[in-house]
Amino acid sequence: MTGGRSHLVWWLLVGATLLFLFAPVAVVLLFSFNAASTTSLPFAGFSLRWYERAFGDHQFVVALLNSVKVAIVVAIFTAVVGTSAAFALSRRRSRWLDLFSSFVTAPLILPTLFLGIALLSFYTQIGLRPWLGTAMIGHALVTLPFVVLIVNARLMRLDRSIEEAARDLGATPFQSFRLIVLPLVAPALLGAILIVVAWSFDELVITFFTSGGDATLPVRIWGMLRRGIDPSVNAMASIILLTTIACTLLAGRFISGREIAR
Amino acid sequence: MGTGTGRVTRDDPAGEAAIAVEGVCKRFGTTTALDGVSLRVEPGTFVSLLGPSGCGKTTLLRIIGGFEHADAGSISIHGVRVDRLPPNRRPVNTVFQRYALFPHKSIFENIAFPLALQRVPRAEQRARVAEMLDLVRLPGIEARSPAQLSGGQAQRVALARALIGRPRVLLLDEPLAALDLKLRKAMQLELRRIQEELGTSFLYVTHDQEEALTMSDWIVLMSEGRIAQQGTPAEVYERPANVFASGFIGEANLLPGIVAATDGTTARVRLADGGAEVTAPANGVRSDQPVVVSVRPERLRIGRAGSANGAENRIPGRLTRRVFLGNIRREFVAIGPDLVLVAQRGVDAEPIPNGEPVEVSWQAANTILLPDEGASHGG
Repeated sequence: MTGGRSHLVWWLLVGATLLFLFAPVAVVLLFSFNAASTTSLPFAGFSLRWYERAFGDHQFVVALLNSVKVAIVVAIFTAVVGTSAAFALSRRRSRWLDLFSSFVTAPLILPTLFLGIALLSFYTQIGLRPWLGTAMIGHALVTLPFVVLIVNARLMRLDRSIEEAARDLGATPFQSFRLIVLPLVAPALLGAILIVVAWSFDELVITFFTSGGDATLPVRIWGMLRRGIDPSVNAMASIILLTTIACTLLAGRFISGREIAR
Repeated sequence: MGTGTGRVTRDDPAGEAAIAVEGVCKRFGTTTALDGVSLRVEPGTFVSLLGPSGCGKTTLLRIIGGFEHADAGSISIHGVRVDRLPPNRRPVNTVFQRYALFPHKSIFENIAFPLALQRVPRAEQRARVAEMLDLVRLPGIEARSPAQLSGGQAQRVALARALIGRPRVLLLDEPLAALDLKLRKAMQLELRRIQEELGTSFLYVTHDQEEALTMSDWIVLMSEGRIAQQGTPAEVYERPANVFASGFIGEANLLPGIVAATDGTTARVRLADGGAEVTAPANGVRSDQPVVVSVRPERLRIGRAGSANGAENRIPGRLTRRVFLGNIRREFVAIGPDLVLVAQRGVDAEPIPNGEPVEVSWQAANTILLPDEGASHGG
């Protein structure tokens, strides 16, 4: 039987892949706590000095706040617009809506480099000066499909007669939405928002093209890396990493597999 | 099979109907769901909309509830036209087939939902919810969640929720379809008890003819978007107006044939298959008219050939099969090359072995002649 051996080969392959994927992540995280002032072995002891230094850097703090602002504005915008769009898509069937649905989801598959360049030249054409707000528009464009698709999937699984029962028992369309539909959709919506935040928080390419002088955290890190590696970059990257991982894990608790598998 | 309790109040036809449907038409794309349906539900009665799936009965109920809009015709509820009103402004409530309880709300919140919308004081809400739960015989379950209920309990809660606003008319869309047979039978009697206790008019959609016969004061039988027949349960069972009604309500032997002779009161019909002749009340048929002879299985008697019993119609045949159903026996008798009659006999009747020549007999008065519309001859 070669079964045992092929099993071993299989596991080695899986192990090597995981190592290749996650070793760099672990290295960055580890070195962000390294006391030594170079990003190299040996490990010189645990220290928070790079975090202190990062937070002592005014430009870093501005970039971090910019990232938070973008994430919050984009999350609120996509939640409101995405939920409305999902509601329309799940409630009415028409060719126009099918077309609309393809348009909404298109940014998901367009390369971000292309989107970044396209947005920048568009802003230039209409005389809009790139700043944090234009970066938010770019983020919203790409993250809207997440919200629309996830919330729409949840609405599709919702028994229509639950809404009809609410209307039948005296609720106006708005009351039925607020008291019945929204609470039932809320977990999926919250999950979608967390995915949007995770995506927005580490987005570089579109932000780089469209934010003008207002750097977000990834843009700031990119700028610093061009001047050589300072270990405080590891600390900044780790902040992004932990935020993204936390959001994604939390999102998974709110959205069932069926809703992501779209 | 029971009949209604006969509480039909039709003595005031000019009075205000609980529901008046006038010439309602509805099309979905190229399919016609409703083709000029008119009916009245008298106040305080239990009316069933009966028919096979796809006959338009649920569409009609949804139009009355306000979930669909008719292309033509009008709906009035207690004298008020409701065609343009949304569901929340119609004086009717609906019990849905799949209960449609709000999964994120407790049983109390579910039942009190209409009261909460009207900002009824909390103490009154509590009292009325308790009263409703007593009515549906589920006292004290206010704190539970819908996920903790069985199907039968969920449907009782849905009923309590639909009734708490004290609607004068309740619409029920196959509310028992998802329950098992035994529970369904118990719930049929429960529904009837609640309807009589409250005096609310019920319009009940079902595809189960036995359910309709058990519960209703009035049955509206639908087929392909039209009303095939309406009447009391006894009327539609004893005097079906057409082949469809005869085959759909109860069981019937449907035998196509041609009227050989008629004197206006009785007619003689030659059966297409086997050529035997049958005597029946004329029911307005003319000579040479193609008709369908309808006889209920329980009206047939089976005896050994030549046994006298005074029945006008006697056809020789051969016993082909017997099915034991507990309280009755069902026997199949071949009377022509492709013609088999179904008869029903008590379990105490003298057993006749399979393959024996027998004589099927029944009285002319128990025979119904129906115009042959070229419809299906099943049954």
